Amino acid sequence: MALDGSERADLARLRHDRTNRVFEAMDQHEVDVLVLGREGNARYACGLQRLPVAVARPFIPSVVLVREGRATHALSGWDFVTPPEIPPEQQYPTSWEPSAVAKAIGRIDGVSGARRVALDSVSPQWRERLSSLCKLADFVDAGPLIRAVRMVKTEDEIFCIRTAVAIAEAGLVAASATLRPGRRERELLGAFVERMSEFGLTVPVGEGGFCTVEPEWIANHGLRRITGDRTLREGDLVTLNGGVLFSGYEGRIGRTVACDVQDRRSGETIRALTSRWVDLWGHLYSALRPGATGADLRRAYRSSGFELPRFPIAISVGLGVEAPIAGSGLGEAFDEKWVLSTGVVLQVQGLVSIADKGYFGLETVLVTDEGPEILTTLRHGAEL
Amino acid sequence: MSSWLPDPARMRHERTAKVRTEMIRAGVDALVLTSSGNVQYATGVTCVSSDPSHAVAEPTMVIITADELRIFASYPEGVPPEVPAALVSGPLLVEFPEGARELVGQLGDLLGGGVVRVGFDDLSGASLAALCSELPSMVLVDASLVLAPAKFVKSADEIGCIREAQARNEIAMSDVLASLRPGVRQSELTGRFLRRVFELGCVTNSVDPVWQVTPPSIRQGPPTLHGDVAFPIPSTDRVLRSDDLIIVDTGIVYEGYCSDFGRTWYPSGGFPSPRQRDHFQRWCDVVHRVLEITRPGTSGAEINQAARKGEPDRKPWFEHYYLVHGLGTQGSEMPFIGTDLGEAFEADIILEPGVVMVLEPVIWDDGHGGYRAEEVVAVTDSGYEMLGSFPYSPFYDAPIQW
Repeated sequence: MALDGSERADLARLRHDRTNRVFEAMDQHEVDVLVLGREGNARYACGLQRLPVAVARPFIPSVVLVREGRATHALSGWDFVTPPEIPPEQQYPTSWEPSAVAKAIGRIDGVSGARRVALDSVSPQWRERLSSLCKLADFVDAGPLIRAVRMVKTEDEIFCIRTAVAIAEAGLVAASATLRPGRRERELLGAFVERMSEFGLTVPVGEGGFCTVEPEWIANHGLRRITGDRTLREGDLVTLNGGVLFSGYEGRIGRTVACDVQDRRSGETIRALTSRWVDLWGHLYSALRPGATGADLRRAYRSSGFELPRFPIAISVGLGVEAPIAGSGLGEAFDEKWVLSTGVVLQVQGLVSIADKGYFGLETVLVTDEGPEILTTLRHGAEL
Repeated sequence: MSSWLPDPARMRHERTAKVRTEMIRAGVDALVLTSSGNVQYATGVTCVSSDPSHAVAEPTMVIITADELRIFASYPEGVPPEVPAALVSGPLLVEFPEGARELVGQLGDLLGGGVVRVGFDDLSGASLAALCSELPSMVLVDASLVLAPAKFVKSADEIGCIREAQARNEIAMSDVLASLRPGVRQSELTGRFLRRVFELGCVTNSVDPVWQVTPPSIRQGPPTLHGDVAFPIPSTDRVLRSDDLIIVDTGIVYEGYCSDFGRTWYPSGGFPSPRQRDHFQRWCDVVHRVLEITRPGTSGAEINQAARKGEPDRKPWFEHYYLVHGLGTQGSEMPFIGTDLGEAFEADIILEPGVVMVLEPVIWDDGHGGYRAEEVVAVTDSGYEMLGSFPYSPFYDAPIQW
């Protein structure tokens, strides 16, 4: 794989394909106007990119798609990067005064007469404003429409995820190389992000999950998955769970390693745990095929003899996280509704244990007609 | 750095009480919060927040009433130690109708089905649909009605957290400045910064670090609808050249509180031109004029006028942005001064002890570049306190004694 070789994704084609798919879905769902505020959805629908910040921003309609004439309108805010294919006349200016933004949206052809408007999110005040702009409209949840479109990936999207996974793996190896007693969890995250930046990327996925595995904590609360400030001690098991964004697409990998593999006992512990992981993975692997449901994955996990962890075991990903499709708190009936198909990319994760020792693993997987393709390549074991 | 350290548990306790007081004042019966800055402010719960897709898909939500608190956390390690375990449950996945129904069930259970006013900071499409059909008499209002006034004045503990965040941010930036040279990539600076921030014990980077190469004239930059300098532009693997003008903007989080760092740097290092010195001097003059009147009782409109006095040709800030914003559990909050919200809005902003302002004037001399930097200031009983102390290289190698 070469970042600058002929394999590089065609990002203009990628944006074009995504926008077309959203309009096709609007046709199917008979949605006249689609209003998107979630950053992942806005970026998917028209390539609108926003400066990444840690604190979720208040709702603002970032993208307005009108089915009639297939017109894409995007907010031109100070912290947005508008893709070149959206001409200035299809951009509306931002303002600190939301009613000025609402007025500009009201002038977009097709908005005032819309009968069916789909929203992915809103704030109470914006709900009032949009209701008064679209007086004839029924407002519906855009979630099902946009999720269904986003879940199945194009070749360009898969390329981006593959690249992100490769860089995440490089980061994980760098984090693993810094592992020794006396280090703090956050220093592992630091090594991970610094390695990521050497590939020209600047945005890691969240705070990472570089955490010591603490049996007592697992028993009471579940596995810790946000990097903290614990000091690593000789023989600790440590999760290395990191991801990066490449052109917005998430690639992530998770492994567990022993702090100081020279310690014979912890080396043996890891080997015993990874053989459990291989057992679990054998069960999951057979359920990662087109036509299987999230509930099949849930059952496969249970059939391995392990209890479901307190986090979802399969998450659909693309431009960040899309949906927990198996193992969430919403239960088996919810998981049953998610049907895998070719082109779906999942993060499949789990926790296995022997006595009071736990092992966390996460693989990024592409579902294909020929079977699952595991995009993550680092091995499990005493060393990566 | 001060030797006095904030007491996070006391701070959390006082904030929650303040939120409840503001709820009574605003006539709001319950708050439903999911944005990390709001959740942190009202309850002290830390959420995964470094990217919005995870914040949405792995939400942490809190519901607060006059006498109850319920926490729905994807990551239980973010819940402060003093919160009883009985108040914490797994996440409400409100992006989906099934999860939105659970939210409706919780609200019905806490508030009954009558006429109640509930403040939300965000509504998923599914939540809106479920609330409208299941709890039609509930009045939905913006949570900012309660939170904006609560956050406006900070306690000594809160200001202590901002001071700490700013100090750690500045330590990391001095490392970055040492590695700034022609040929370095923007992404390399990001890597160095983030690594240092995490080594310094911060949990979250609050904004994708900006190292913006800014052409000397607006027409050479990316086109914008607002017609002003395009800023901020996300960083890439771009290589910085010797004569580039780099506008820098970074921020991190400590105990939930944000810092804000801004400077203008040149990869070539020393020897700024006379024109660059003039830009910098005028920028300092704007800050001086604002600080001269920074004390309790001064209005936002007066701050605006003071900044403009002496710069008749152009407002000395990015007009699409602002001259001043507040800083707290969000990187940008009230008070806003210099936005397009107008004079009446700013006349109503009255400084009080405990208000924290980020001053970010900009001198722009189209065709010849300009100067932008940021200073974080807390209003005190008698004036102000600077919360940062970073030098202004290459103009001064020591912090300015404002």
